[in-house]
Amino acid sequence: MLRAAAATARTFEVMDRADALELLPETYARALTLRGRGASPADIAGELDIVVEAVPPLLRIADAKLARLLRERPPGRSRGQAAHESAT
Amino acid sequence: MGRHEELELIAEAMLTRPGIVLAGAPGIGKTRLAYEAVEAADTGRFVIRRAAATTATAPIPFGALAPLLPVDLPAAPDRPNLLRFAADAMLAGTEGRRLLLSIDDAQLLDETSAALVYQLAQSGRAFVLACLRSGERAPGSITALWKEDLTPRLEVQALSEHETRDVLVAALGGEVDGATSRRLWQATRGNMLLLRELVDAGRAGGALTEVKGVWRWDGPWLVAPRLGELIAERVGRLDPAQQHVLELAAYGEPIGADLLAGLTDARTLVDLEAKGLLWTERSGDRAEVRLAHPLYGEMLRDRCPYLRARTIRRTLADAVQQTGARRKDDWLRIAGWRMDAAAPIEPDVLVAAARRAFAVLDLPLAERLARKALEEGGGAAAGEVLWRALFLDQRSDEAEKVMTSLADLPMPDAQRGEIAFGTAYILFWGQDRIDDAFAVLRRARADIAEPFWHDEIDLLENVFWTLLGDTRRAAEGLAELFARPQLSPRTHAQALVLRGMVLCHTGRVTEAIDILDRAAEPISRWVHEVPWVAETRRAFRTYALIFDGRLLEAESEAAAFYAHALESGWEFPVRLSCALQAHIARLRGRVLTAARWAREARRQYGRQPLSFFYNFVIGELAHDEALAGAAVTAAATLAEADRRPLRGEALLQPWIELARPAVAAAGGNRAEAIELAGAAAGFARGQHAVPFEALALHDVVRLSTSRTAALLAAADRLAALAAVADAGLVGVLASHAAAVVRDDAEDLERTALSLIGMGADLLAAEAFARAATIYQDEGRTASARRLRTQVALLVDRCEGATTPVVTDLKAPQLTARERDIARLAVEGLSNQQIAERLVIAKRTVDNHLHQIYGKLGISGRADLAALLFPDDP
Repeated sequence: MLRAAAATARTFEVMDRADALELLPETYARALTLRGRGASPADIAGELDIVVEAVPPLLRIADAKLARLLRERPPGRSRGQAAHESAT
Repeated sequence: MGRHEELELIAEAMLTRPGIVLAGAPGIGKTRLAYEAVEAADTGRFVIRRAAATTATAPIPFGALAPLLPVDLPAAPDRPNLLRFAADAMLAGTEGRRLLLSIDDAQLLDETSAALVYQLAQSGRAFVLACLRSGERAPGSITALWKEDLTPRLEVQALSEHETRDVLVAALGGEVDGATSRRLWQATRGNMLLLRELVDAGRAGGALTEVKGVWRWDGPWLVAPRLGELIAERVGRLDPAQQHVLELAAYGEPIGADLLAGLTDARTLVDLEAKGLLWTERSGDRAEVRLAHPLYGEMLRDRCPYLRARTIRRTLADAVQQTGARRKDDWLRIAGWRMDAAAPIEPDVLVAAARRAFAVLDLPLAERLARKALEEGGGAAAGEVLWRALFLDQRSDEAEKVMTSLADLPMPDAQRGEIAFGTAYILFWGQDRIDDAFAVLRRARADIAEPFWHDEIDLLENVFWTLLGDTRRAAEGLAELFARPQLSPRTHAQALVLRGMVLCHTGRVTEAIDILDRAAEPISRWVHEVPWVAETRRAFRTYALIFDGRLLEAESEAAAFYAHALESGWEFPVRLSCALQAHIARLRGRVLTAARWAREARRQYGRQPLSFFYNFVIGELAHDEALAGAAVTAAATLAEADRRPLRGEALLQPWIELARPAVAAAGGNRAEAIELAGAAAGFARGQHAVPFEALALHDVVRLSTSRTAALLAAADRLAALAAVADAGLVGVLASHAAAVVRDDAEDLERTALSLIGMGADLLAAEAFARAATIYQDEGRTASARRLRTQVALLVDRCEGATTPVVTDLKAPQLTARERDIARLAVEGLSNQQIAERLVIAKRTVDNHLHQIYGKLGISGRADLAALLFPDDP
């Protein structure tokens, strides 16, 4: 029971990825979105007007910033509502 | 500051790679980032040397690195030998450590220096940290660093809005008002250099000030000379035609592309767009031109001589008027330009423009236009806009003077109704002259024949009854109003919102949410006339969610409300949404966050602090401070909330009454706290304010240590309230009370889970704590220990909250550092790896983990994983 409670609590802490993406600097958000759509590093570099070698570090920073937002920021509406419904 | 991830990447590169290249636009903050990375470097591992390339050093071999090389560098017969000598000289004195070579503006390195840098990186004996401007040509040896995969290349980006806020908080050493942080971010587009210059200019010029721990920018941007030069440097050299177009855009943006092209030549526009100084965006079926950066406009306007500025404004006004001024903001813009250019304007145009400015809540402009309209003979119509603008700007005394001056003017019923309405508003809210406000309404009802105004006046009376806390009378009045067959749409829309407020306050939340949702569309049609009603609807819908125990949903709604409020630039919703976020954060147990929101709400009160729900905001702050353990401060804050009680804000008084027990408990006066909680419950009962009564009764239960008559009575009353109320929060509070009365540990656990489900961590911790005590008394030590761990984890999220129940249990809390270490340990890092990651000694990590295990009552990292992340496989 307590394990389930902690899991519920943790679910509440999680923010929607889409909400978190909106809080990222635009270039990071675009890079992650492009990668999510299957774009290659060369495509991402072309879209963002950067050299292709800069893509992996950019994605890494973007991932880390997104992860921090998901850890620290309040939950997004849809996730909060879903969690509430499952709890009641 | 705001670059944690970048600093981590650089720190990792220092351990694993021979260097890193930081690329980015000018002013983006790469030099600052490099500086922070170098400052954080371990001097036991690195010998740090810094160099900067410039256009002056570019043509000179070893020009940029000359300060780091010996004067008597031996003459070498060939380049490889020369580089070898230079490399040896650079590495001299490093003695087993690596050279950390930081180079600024590496794109300007001369070829020889660049080759040396490359060689140092390739040798692995140095770590090269090179900053360069994106988009500028760099020497081949530098580009080879990333092209040959010797070093990573990191494109440093502008700060996001929330990173900007983090940077501001760190730089200013205090909290920053949300609107200020957003404005600064929008103005600088997250450019670190511009941000710093703007902040410096604001502080020096007195626009950016700190009051009671919160920084806020008041008034227009200040373009200090240094900032002006920086912006001018970015704009670059302009020919007269380009300068003219940019100035037109600076005064006119957003401006139609066709209109602008008609005032200049198309080629100049194209050139400026190509230079990145203008941008064009689609707005419906037309293209609009803006300056590429908000601060360009500031600089251009700042440097434009008066007479030229006047000509530009007249040119713009004439041009837009010639197009027929078809867009809804056109008259507003025309009037604004003409007024600034001291050109004649018709009073009708001014009144129309003032109405439009009010509708978009540009209160200063609405005031200026309305005053000008009054001067030009605009009469009562101008006065009507003026009082509204002054009233919304919290300047009730000035608004009342306007009303008095209008009273004798001849006017039709509609305007007399409007004047009576405004006068009553000012008397009630601005001056707390409740009886006078009612008297004005009664007189107006007798004088005015128009049924619309009878409806509006009766509605306003019910608004007043609601705010006076007489929810029954208001409900009866509303029922009578809704029964009228010809109720006007505007009155009907407002009455729906008022009905929702009353239902929310009295704990009928399902109906409240339903009616407030139904009111959304109708009230949006009147938002330009009674803008405060739409904001109030939004706030009370969120309160209904809170009372239904849907704290997470409420949190999300309040955050969206706050974002909308910042966009509007109007202080009333900013204040409301900050207060809402404070309530929610406190109920969730985030006491420091709650206090931050309450302080931000307080910071919105500039000119007239003793009005417009100030006491309510201060009461919330006192509550938050009390829960954070700041007993003395909380008591002082509460005294401030009590300094001038306002009859017209009785509806919000329960929030203040709920703060009293918390403040007493924080001061160690538990018996007094219980008594005050009982009194708060009585106060709320007088208003039929079920959720507030339930919260106060719950406080009686929480704070009681034995089965007193007060505890039993509170639990009984809570059960009775839960039976009739339609508010999820009341039900859970009643269950908690019942379990406390029965000393039922398992029910307390169940209640705690419900509270966790709501997001009320602190209350959940208290329920677990009580259950743990019962288990302990029953000799069920394993269960007690298990729950203590849960308490520890929950309290750990509560930002240092201190309540008597939690203190009784002496709940162990992890410090921020302990949490970081615990997380890394759970991720599977060894103590040595944790030490390296956090740049601390391994022994320190050992000690911290020992401390963590002791606090949580566990024996090793396997237990830690199960405790901290129980749902992980």
